[in-house]
Amino acid sequence: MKLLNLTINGRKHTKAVSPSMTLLDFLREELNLTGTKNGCDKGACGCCSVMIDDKPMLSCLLPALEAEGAAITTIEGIAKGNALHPVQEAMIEMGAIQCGFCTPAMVINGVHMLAKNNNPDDDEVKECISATVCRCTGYNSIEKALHLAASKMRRAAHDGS
Amino acid sequence: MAEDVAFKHIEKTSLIGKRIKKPDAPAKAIGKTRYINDMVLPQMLYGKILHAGRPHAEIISIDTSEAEKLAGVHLVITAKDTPDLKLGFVKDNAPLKSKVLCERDEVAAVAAESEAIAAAAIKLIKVSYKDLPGVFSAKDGLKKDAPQIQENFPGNKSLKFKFKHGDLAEAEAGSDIILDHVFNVHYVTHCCMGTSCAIADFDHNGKLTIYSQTQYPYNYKMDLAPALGIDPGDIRVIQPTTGGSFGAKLDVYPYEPVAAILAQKTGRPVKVLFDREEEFINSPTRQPAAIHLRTGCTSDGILTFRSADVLMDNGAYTSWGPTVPVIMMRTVSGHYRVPVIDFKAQAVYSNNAYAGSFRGYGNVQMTYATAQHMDMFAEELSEKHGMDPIEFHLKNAQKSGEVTPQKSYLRECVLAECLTTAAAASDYVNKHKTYTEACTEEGRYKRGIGLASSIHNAGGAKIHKSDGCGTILKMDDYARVTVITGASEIGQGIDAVISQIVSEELGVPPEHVTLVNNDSDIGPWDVGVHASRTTFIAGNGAKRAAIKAKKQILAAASKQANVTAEELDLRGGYVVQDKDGAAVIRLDRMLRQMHFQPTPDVVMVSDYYEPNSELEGKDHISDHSAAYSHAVHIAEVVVDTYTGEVKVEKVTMAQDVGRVINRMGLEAQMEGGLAFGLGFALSEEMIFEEGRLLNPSFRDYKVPTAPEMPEIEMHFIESDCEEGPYGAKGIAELPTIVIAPAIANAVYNATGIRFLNPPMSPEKVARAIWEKKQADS
Amino acid sequence: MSSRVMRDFDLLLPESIEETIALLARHKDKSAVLAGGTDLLVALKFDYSIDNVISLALVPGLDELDFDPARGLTIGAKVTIADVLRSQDVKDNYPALWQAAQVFATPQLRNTATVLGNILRASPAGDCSAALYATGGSLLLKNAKGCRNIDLDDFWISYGVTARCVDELAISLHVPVPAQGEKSAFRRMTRTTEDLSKINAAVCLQMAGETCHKARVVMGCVGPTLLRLPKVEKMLAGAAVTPELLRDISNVVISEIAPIDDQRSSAEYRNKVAGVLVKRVIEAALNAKENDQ
Repeated sequence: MKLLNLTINGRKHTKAVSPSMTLLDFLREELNLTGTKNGCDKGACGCCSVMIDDKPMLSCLLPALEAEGAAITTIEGIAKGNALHPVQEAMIEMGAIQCGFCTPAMVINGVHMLAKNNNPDDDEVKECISATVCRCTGYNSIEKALHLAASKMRRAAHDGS
Repeated sequence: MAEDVAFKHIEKTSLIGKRIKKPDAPAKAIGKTRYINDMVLPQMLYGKILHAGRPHAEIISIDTSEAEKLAGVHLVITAKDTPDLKLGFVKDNAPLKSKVLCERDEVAAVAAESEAIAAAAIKLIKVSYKDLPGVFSAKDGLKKDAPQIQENFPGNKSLKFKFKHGDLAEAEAGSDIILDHVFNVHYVTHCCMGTSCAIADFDHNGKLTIYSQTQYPYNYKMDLAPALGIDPGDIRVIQPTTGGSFGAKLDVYPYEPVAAILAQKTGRPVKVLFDREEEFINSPTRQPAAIHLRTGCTSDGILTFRSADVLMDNGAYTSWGPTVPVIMMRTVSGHYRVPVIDFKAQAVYSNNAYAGSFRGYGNVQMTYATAQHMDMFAEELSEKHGMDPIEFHLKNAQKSGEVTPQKSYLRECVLAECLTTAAAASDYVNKHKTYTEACTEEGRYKRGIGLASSIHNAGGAKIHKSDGCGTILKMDDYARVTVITGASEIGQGIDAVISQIVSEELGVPPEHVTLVNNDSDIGPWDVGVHASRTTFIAGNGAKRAAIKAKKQILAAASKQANVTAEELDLRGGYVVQDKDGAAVIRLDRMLRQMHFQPTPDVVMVSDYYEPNSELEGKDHISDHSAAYSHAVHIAEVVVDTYTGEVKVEKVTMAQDVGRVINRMGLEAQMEGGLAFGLGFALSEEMIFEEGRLLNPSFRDYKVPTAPEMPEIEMHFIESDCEEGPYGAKGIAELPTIVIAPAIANAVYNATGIRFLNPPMSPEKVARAIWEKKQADS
Repeated sequence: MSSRVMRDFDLLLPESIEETIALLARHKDKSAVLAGGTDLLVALKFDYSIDNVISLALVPGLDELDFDPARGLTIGAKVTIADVLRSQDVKDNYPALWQAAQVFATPQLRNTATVLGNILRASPAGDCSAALYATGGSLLLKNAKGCRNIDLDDFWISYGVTARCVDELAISLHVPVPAQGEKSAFRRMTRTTEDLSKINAAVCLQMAGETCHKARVVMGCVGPTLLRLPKVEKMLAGAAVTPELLRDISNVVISEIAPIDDQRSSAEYRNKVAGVLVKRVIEAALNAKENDQ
């Protein structure tokens, strides 16, 4: 066991963890942050996506200890209180959520893309979710949701300036 | 008149056909939803199963002593601890095995304090096997000297189906064109994103509570009980949120009784949860089949007969897979007007994986064949007789009121409209002609367009004695509605549909309707989520219950307002005058007045809706669904003739949906269903070698991802089904069924090559193109 | 938790290159180095076990991604695929590498996986490895005794096996300055868009007008390691790259490769499309404007 210090959704954590524990299991088992999902445990489905220092990564392929000092955002940290992120709102509005198991990963990757570029083209949207497997939708509704969120964010940016 | 209703007028509006958000979507969007995979109960132990990992073997001995000694291990069980427990509707399966018949076979199981300890204990169990020669195809299983797989099924013969109608010899003699092909439909699997999981917990009275992903909670009890040796009445099924199902959980599979047995014997709750590799190896598949299809047609383009001889690899045990001929034969006899039918199907035991139910249930397989034969006829008739391809389809398309040879009564049939709508929207005839001409020209990239259609049950399928669904509806003093329904939510969106329907009838916002449907001790009976039935059956049930409640409220209000109940309506949270919408009283106030009086009048109603359909009998002649529906898909593809890569660029779909209820949910089902069919057509394939799955991971089993999806244009044809709620029909399976043959027909249009054996992988397509080039030169 | 339980290992977190090398000297083959870890973690979840994992997380001086027009490109051990993709210098000067990075694995994995990790994995399917093999480069390896440079041409020995000694740490990769008129490209084929290659190819051509002076042509997934295609390289050297030459090349490729059947494709298919892919990658290199994949 080694001591791990990191920040998750703005909150500091210090915990002793085993070297063989992945960040995914640390989030789910140690911190009860079960919003991040385990879909394949092998880096091939994208469901365990979290943002580490503002980059989306797969938490199933990272020993928790490797995240020492990092700032991590999980799905639980995307909404601000009761105010959902435009991506979350758009996913609901466009019917892009069915069983919802891939939704946290879709949201994490979408939020990351739109933070960098709030005017993505079709290919950029496809690329953004291309590594996350969804078995309920045919992805089109998710793409529509990301475009809708982008337009909402552009409007907000415009109104704010 | 009370102040709050003065001068208030509420116009009649309807929610039907509007976009209704899924009530559980916000919780899912913020990661708050508690899936069964996430659940931990106090005192819970973790169960893990040792799978055989070999296809056919005697178990000589099992030594569990080392595993038992490991600290944290509570119990290790083998078949010796579970004698006489049987599973499956022909009782050929068991929770734990004393002989290995397939790779997944459950040989032993452990309950331990943590998943890590359970996993370590599994590795300490020593099993000595004597491998036996195996059967790895249906054909081999039928050979005289084939090893016997199941003791009680001599010659490895499993289920068998037959249906005949009309004089085949005469029909053949009267045919100008006879097509004769064998289509080999491959193994694919559901890949639910949430892996399989069960949590079992016995109370001190011997009653089992099982947290399950099942999509048929009520009959599930009946199927699980014999695997535990307990009474079905002693089982309570709770269905936490699940990560997809698609038919995968329409049966009981061994891990579920194993969890329960471990719980029973340890006195602790036990959770069994698969990792992804276990999920691939140990989940049901789609039923593979070799379909020998013969179809006849006159030179005038009139279908004369269809005969299908289907050989199915049953795998080692019988789940729903080998029952798919029940639906296959409806396609053979009902996909277009075919006067003479000869259908046979035989399932054969083997040492392979076994199939379950899977969205599209037999029809995915059969339509892949029938829709290609239709295209072959259209091609030949167009070439030889100049017949317009759509004209050929229309000649054979049934009309409303027609009855198929199996007595499927097509009350509202709009196949013709589906065909003409999709063809016109995609400019099918022109493009098809252009691409046909370009097919033989030089050039690397070839375009193609392909049309396919199918028929499917759209008002349930009465394969059980009841195809019904119970509903209990109550209203509280604040005009909030609780609907307790037998219908399960597995992600498909019945939650939105029911709240929408109840809202429509009772004039309350959809957000004021709470759905309770995940506890078999609370909910009334329902046959399960399958057969595209839930909106139709549970929707009708909810509507009928809501109408009862409405009548009760309006009767009470009519006394007060001194008008007849017929002159009143419920709108926008008020009792109103029907003619002008003038508010009479706020609904919550009305409910309180009804409640708090000397003889309380509380709104608590129930309904059991049984669709107007007939039980599927042994002769297979019955109107087994309360409605039938059609869909047409037109796929546009580009084929790279150098590499065999097929890109589906656009799909135009036209489907008889009866009536649009929740447009958002409908579009979601169309798109998702299409993705399943696309994967089946192009990239998904379970690769087996002597009964072992070689690609149990998303790295090597390729489901479609976002870039693979085509543009989709949807046309909903509203046939206004008399029996369906507001005219709706069931919709969710047809999109999976029709797309694959549409792609196959498009690839033919592009290359001149038929692909009878999906998936149309680049390897297969390229080889066929090279072979054709060699043959042509 | 539905996770594969990894066999316990110790995670060592050295804070300097020297400390890392000392740990490698002590643990030798009882240790594995973790930079991105995307391959290592999958292995650890499936039957691979190791006592010590030496993480580079806290080691400074390994994240250099530097291009100098006089010296070339240096890629440190911790440089991720995403870092490469963000580099305008790489995009301008090493198109093959940039294109390989662009399609490498998935967007999330590109943020974790490292370029050197891809090389050290010694997989015949490595996309960035194939591109770098074509452009050429040398690895700087360091152990307690000192440093050595090893050319990529000599580095991959067989599937998963490299010339790295167990006590050596790969510090960085050096890629030479692009020659005058150098054009390079990378192309691959996959089952679905985000996937491991079923076959890939990279070329680096030194062009003077229409004539190719020197060529390096690499193919992946057609042998136990990435392969260079010497016959094709010879055909290109000193020749004008005409459609006729490309056709001839595409017919010769099959004689230089030895693919197998596996989950991703078949030997037959790889043999058949290899020529098409080589032709396509050469065309892509020459027609730099069409470098979008």
